[in-house]
Amino acid sequence: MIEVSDIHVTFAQGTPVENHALRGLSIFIPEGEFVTVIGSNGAGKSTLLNAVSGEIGIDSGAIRVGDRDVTRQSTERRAGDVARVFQDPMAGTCENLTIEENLALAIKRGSSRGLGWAVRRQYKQRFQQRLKRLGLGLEQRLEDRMGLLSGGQRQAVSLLMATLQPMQILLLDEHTAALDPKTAAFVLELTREIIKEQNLTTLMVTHSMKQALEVGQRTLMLHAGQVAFDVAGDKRQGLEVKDLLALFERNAGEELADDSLLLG
Amino acid sequence: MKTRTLLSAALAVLGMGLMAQPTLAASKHVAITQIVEHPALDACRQGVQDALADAGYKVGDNLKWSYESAQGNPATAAQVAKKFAGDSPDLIVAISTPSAQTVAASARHIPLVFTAVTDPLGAKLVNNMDKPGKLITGVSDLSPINKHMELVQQIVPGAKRLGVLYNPGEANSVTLVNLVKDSAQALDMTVVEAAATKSGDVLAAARSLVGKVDVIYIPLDNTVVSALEAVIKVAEQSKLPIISGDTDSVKRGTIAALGFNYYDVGQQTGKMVARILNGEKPGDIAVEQVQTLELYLNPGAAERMGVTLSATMLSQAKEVVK
Amino acid sequence: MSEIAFLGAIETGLLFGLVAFGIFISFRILDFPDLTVDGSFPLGAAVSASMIVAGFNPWLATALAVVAGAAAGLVTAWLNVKLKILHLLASILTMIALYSINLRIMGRPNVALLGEETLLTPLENLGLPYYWVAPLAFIVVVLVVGALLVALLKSEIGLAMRATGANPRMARAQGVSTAAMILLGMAFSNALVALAGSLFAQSQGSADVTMGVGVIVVGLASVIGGEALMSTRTILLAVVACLLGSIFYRLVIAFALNADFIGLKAQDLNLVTAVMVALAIVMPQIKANLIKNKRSAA
Repeated sequence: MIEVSDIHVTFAQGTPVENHALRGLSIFIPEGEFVTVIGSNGAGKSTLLNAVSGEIGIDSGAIRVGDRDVTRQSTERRAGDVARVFQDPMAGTCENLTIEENLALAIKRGSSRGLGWAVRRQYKQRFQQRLKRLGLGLEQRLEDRMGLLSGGQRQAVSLLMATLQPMQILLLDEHTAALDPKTAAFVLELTREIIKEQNLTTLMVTHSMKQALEVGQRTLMLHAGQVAFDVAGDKRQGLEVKDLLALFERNAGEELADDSLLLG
Repeated sequence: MKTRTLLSAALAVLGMGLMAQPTLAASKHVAITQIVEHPALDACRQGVQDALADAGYKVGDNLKWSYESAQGNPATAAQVAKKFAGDSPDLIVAISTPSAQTVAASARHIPLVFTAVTDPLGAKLVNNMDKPGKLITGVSDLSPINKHMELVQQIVPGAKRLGVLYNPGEANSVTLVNLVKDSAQALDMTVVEAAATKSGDVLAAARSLVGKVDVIYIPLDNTVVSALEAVIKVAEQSKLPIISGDTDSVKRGTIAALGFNYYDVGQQTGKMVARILNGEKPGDIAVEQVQTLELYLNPGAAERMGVTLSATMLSQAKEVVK
Repeated sequence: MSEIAFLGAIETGLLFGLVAFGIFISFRILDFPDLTVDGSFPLGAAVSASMIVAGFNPWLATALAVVAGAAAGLVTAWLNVKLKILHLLASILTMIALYSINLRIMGRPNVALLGEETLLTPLENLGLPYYWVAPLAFIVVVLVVGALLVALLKSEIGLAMRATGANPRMARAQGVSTAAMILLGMAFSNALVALAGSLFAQSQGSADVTMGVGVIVVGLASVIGGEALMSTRTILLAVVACLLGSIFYRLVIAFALNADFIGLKAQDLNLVTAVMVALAIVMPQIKANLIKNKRSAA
């Protein structure tokens, strides 16, 4: 579970381009819940993810992951509790390392690293098992360099890497946005399966309102650094994109200008 | 009577020449290594070659001459030394301390004559200057510091505080400055040091001496000499006489130097090389100091720095710079 | 080329193979352009030469030279990681500081080791020709260090180090402390370079404050040359390539020194180096173009 309490983030403080990206945002996600997050550009979606993962510091407020207060912890200290898949397939994997080396790097997330071999035999079997379910034939290519894989394949491996070890929260940052529609659908389906199987607490940012309603159990919309609305359970059942827009206009008191959200 | 003596002398010389002919024809191989291209070191090399020619060893005739420069790179100097070791010449001439050290380490079975090495003992090239013993001997280019200090006293009588400008990163300069300290003390002068680790620092180092010293001495230091004009400017503005360790600097505007030129050093080295080629053992030949000293004076500079040179001094000078 | 000149090239190539290993870690693994090596090479020489002349055991002197090199690398990494100074600038700062420090350590610009008891002295008493001793000793050193390097880079920590250089954001997301990896990698890199400096001083008979000049260029030429000579697909191949690149570089120099017939002299070496590095950089492109042309022709 994670708890974000009243956090503020300001970029370029004290300069003409000052940007108050998060303004007193609070979210509580209980264990095992799959939450989707939407919002127009600049609403603070990525900033929220970066604040939870520790890539950016927050001005005030607190972030708890599991039973730990991680507010002042660095990304690498939190990594045992916070797993993440980036939007850019290039960002989540190392192209110069082999598939098995990437996975070996991920299998040590959350534990200390020593001078023993990084890629051990017992790991290899586990990697092959996990890769097999992708149905991409990657289990035969453990020693191929990551750079030889397509964007979709890399993103699928990124997802495996993020979910190889237990965590308190899985962060998905528009992880299908950079893929073609067919591959995106494949990666999204894979995501749903893994989350369901492992009962993962998940925060998924998406650009598509349709997707936000189709997957997960709860949907948040961010606007101007705050939660514009938060729907779950019966109220969320049967909601359509146009209902979301109406909800938004009622709660935020203004019309949504970003067309890309509708098209998605 | 006179004519007969002359005649027999002439015959004797002629005879010696004829007798010497077979030995001269014996072809010798001399390899020469130098750490970097530099006018002084190049002149030294030329001196060696000319002296050998005078002694009957002519390049291309009866002398094979292999020359390599390491381009200032110590790893290359090591490889040059090894190449020479493999070529097995009759003798290796090493110009500069690092070149000589690496030849001593890498080509141990070949006679080595070093030159332009200031401190052969400190560089561990020889253990004994008078009788080196092994296969190594050579010529030291240590400045005759005692004579330099006497010159300082002659030009600025009663000088009590001597400023010395040098780069503590140059091996030779450090040796020289230590000698300056000993020698100055004997003459009742105190030494004030000013360090410049690169030529850009020389001006500031020179300024730091103003007001603290009566006269400046510049040892043969590559860094300071390369930025000599900066020092001269400061000295002329504050009427501080400069005496330098090398004669080229006098032409550029220091008052005086009792120096030598590297061509002469090379010639001296070449004569030593010829002795070894003729059969003498390097271990029996004492390490030599520079023999030919020349006084250079610059009366114009003296005037600008507030001193006058006596007529006796001017008459002793090898060269008076106008 | 004579036997001694050939062995001399191998000896120097092996020694600078250690430098190439160090530069491989900084430039290739950590993506950290590090000029500290121009200072840590003479630092290793200065520490070991001064200690040997002062009568210490050569093993201890060499070990301390390695420690000093590691410390130099740590300083550069610390300037970059903690004080946020640009990596290139941080390494230049350490390099120029080391010039003064090396002078302080030696107390003068040149410390001679001719006739002193060094690591090589016991081997020289075995009766081998003296020009065989250093190459044989250095082969052992380089093989041991190379094996250690491969083992390190294939370990969990080594993998984290490689990820740090290749994709620091991803590395942090996987729980890798990139700052710790940079500190560790730079210490290891400069320790290897200092070891090379120490052994160079012991085999060449002196430590000189100017002996770091151009170490970075030679090391980089070895790394890049090795990559042009052979495939560097795996870590083992990449490490072997560094060594081969270094030896190849020295053989080219030895060839240039012995190539009077084509008019090459030692003074042309810098030119030869520049041409070699340039060739090594464009070679993969030329290869790729050739393959492309062949394909389109077929």
